[in-house]
Amino acid sequence: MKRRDFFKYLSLGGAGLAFNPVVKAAESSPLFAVDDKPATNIKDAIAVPRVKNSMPGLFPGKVVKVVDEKSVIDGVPSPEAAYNMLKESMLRLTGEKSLKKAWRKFVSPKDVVGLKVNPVAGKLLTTSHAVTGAVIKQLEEAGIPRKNIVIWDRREMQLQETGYTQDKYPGITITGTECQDEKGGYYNMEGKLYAEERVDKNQYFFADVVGEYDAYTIPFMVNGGKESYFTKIVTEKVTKIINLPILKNAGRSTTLCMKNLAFGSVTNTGRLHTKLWHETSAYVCAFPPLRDKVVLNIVDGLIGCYDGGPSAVPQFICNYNMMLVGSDPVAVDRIGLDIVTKKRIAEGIQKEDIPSSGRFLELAQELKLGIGDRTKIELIEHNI
Amino acid sequence: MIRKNFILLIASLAFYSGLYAQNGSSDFSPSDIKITRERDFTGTALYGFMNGGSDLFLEYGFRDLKALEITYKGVPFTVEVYRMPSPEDAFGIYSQHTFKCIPADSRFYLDCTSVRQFQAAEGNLYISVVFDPASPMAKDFAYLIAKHYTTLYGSGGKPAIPDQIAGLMNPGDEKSLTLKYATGPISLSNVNSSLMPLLEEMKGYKAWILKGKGTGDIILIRFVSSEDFSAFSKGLTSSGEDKPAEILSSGENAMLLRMK
Repeated sequence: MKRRDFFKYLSLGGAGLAFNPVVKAAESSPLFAVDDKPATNIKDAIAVPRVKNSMPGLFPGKVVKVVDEKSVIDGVPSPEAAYNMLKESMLRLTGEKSLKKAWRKFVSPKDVVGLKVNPVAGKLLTTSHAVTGAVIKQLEEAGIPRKNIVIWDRREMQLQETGYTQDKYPGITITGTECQDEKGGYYNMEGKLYAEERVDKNQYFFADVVGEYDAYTIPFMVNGGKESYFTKIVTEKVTKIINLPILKNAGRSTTLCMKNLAFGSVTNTGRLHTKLWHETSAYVCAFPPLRDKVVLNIVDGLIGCYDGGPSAVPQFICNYNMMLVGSDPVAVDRIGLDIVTKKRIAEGIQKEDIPSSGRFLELAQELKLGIGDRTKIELIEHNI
Repeated sequence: MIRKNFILLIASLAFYSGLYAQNGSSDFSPSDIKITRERDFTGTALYGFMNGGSDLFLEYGFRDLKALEITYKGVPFTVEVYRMPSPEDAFGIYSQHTFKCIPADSRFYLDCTSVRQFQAAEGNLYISVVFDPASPMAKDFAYLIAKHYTTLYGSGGKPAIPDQIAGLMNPGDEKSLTLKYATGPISLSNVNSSLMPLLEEMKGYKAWILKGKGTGDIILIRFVSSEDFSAFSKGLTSSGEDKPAEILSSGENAMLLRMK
């Protein structure tokens, strides 16, 4: 059997393993009566009862925006500035006077805290080490041991490339779903992708679009077929997730909190970009491994971009010099989208706001993951 | 005799080295390139390199990418060489990445320099060389590196710009600043989204977009079938006051439009 056929076979076999659907489904929701979009299993997600930590978390509709015009020095994000911006954000978000107390509202020393960074655009535009370092420092100050901190993304290779290494982060676990061995290979001795061991085939996002990949592509998709399996990092390894996206565009929309989580947590995403970008960004976040574990979103906007995203095109990279923080990923994304859109208009990339760019926000609000309506968001702004 | 030949040889070498110098490559030595990392991505494996950003490249028919981390004379560069099906597609993906080039079209037929990147479309290749702007020689080196890799991997040739569009360009207009080429919904909507509602469910159309200077963009759109062309024409003419464009001319499954 050729390797390509082998993986086609595997992906078809995987369809037999099911996320346990719970019965009650909100059939009356307009989400299920819409257009000609491919069918999904979103009903399975919303049928699972919500828990205390479920999105939008402790502060629905509240977003803190902190700006420090000196946060990037000679093109490099300043660790000191990032620390202060994060501190100001946390205190303002929670209303606490003690930074430790502010953090302990979200995490405890018993938690295994996953930091979802975004290294996909490479060294030029990754979640900065200044911001990730500030989060780790404040977690430690709040009593979270380093051994309980996990830096993760979908691709372990890209974490390494962007400097998320054991040398730089001793004592912290750094892991991804897709991974290579020391020789750069993707397959074990049995011819199976290493990544297969890292996905949870009991929990998946189904969409009626078939992913078919050649041998070159399958290591980056893990499986084909109609299921996108969640990584075990979110289903098993971590108990809380702190989301660290970058302030950047994705075409006329943005790739901030929800996109970073959704496309970073499941396999077989190649089939989802074109037809189901908005749906995937919202729906995948509605599944319990994300909905019930993501407690905080910290958008690294010290350096970001306004076009060319989600890749890093140097012409469009800019210093926003800001950080956006909130427990509500939808509200944070709404504010972030407004900021990026305003910048795109100012730079002449687009002429006006295009409401359809934020369709994922409407879907997410419908799913009660947060508040996407700008008029209902409390935005707290602070300049350092 | 020997002396005469020797002088001839020296003269020839001087002549050719002079030509080489005119191209700005006099000091370029490929042996000074040290490759620190090399990766290849073919077809949809581009997802492994840039994930969601791949869709735009795939819409243009992306073939393969050579992604290199190199140093040249000790200066670090990131080089990406994208091989596309045709010079038009190479220009198309290039045109999606150019913005405020200073200068533009100064060294290649199509090139764009910005603070930390040199880009070019040459034949069926789109090449990007990213450098650290703090390094004084980096910008000049970037051009030499681009030249080296386009020579190494390129097919040659220039994009065939349709007469209807070329005829509207002024002498001296830099193509890299004024012209775009789109082959589907992602690329076209990135440049001008006004036509998108009329193009839903249509595939295979190609559009040349001449960016307007104070006026609307001019778009030449060509359809693969007379059915798509008719449906588009019907949709456009029945748009009433919301009509996004004025028809300048049409025929042979193509239409020249001035956008509002």
